Amino acid sequence: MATEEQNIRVSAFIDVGWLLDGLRGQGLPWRIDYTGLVDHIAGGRTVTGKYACLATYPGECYPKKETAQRELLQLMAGQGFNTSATRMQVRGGMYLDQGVDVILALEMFEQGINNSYDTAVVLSRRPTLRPAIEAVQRQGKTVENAFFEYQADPSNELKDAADSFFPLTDSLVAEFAL
Amino acid sequence: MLVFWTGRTIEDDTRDNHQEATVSPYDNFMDQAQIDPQLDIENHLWDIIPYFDTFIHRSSRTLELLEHQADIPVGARDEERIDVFPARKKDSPIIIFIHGGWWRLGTRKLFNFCIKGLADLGFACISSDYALCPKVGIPDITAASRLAVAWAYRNAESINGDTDRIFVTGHSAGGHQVGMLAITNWEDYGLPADVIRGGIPISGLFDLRPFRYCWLQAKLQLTGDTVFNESPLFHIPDSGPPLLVALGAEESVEFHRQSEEFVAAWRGKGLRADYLDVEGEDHTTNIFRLFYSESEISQAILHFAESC
Repeated sequence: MATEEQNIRVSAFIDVGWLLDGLRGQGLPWRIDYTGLVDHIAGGRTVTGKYACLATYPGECYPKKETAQRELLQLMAGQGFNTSATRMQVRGGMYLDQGVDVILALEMFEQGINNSYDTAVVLSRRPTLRPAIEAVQRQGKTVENAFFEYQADPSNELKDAADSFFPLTDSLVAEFAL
Repeated sequence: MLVFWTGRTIEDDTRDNHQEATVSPYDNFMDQAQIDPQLDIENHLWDIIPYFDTFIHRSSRTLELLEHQADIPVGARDEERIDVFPARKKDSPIIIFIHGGWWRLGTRKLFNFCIKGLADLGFACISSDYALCPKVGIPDITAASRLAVAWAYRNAESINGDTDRIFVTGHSAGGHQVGMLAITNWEDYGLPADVIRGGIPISGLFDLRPFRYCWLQAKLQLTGDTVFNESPLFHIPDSGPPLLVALGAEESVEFHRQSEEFVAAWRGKGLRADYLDVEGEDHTTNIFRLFYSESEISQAILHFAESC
């Protein structure tokens, strides 16, 4: 017989670029057990969906970085994630990460309408995801933001918008290193 | 006709700048829009804050762990100061670290963590600093780095250092400074010609031509003269210290070109230049490893220094 917690269905939505900087920017490995990390965040709840999206770098500028990022998406796909990739745009010499917030927002909204989850866990601190969080909350879903906290810039609009927050720490993530 | 964002054409520059009449106009790129993505190490990140967090935490930890003397002035400007970390044993090799930040950002206080692994390996360490562009120009930064070398030579005993084993390392713009120190005629500054035993530029820049046409020009205010005089690639000496030119394998094509051409030019004069392209690392994560003595980059510097 399922416990009350197991009856709560959780879907995870990973904004891979922001998480990747959170990992690499703290000297952490990016080859980790993302499924294990999501299961840990879910606690006793049932994980019903895992989604990840990344805008990869242009290979003409960063060939090895692009290769590594594609490898990361393959790693996540192998761990059961539904992965999506867009390509980082370069306009007027500036990098533009376009499309990731739209893809994640649509996924959250569509899965919400399909009633595939009760709680969306969002791993990001990208401010443009706030409307998506508020939209699924209006559907009656709860949203949990799971991310690192930084002293140099403690702001996180998603943490403010979400119903609850799960702090990622370097020591926790290190436990899931492959 | 190529027109750069300054409104000048490359033909204008060639005509007006006698230095660029001898150094051919930059021809690897068509325009600024092609240069900028190659030299953008900040805006292409999704979130730069965790990197700064790590700089702050690790540098703070370094000061907690290591005996040090902070804020020693070496030049006339207030920013031209060093933090020194004496070696535990007398007559230890000395290494000077020069931080990066595109010559216009950061201080040694953010980057003191870069000497931690080397200090653990027995080096007497000096963390060097300089005033930033556009308050000063790149030639002033090079002058400040030379002052740090002079301080190390004249005060070696006070940090348990050996004047015969002074090494210089630096990251990004600091790697450029290592290149400038390597081509310096030290007798002009009252120091032995071979005062630098070896140099380790990490992710350095050695050809400043593209910078005049990139997003940084508003801060750097480069002229034809400074581009020429401050590009180590155009001043390879007949004799110079051994170099270990390092960078992260995930860095941009242009960063690789800068290092590879400098290595080739150095070797072209019969001088020693080792090359280390660290797999799996990018522009910033590569120096994170300097915090640890057992890392590939720290061990490579140790072995290089021992071989010089």
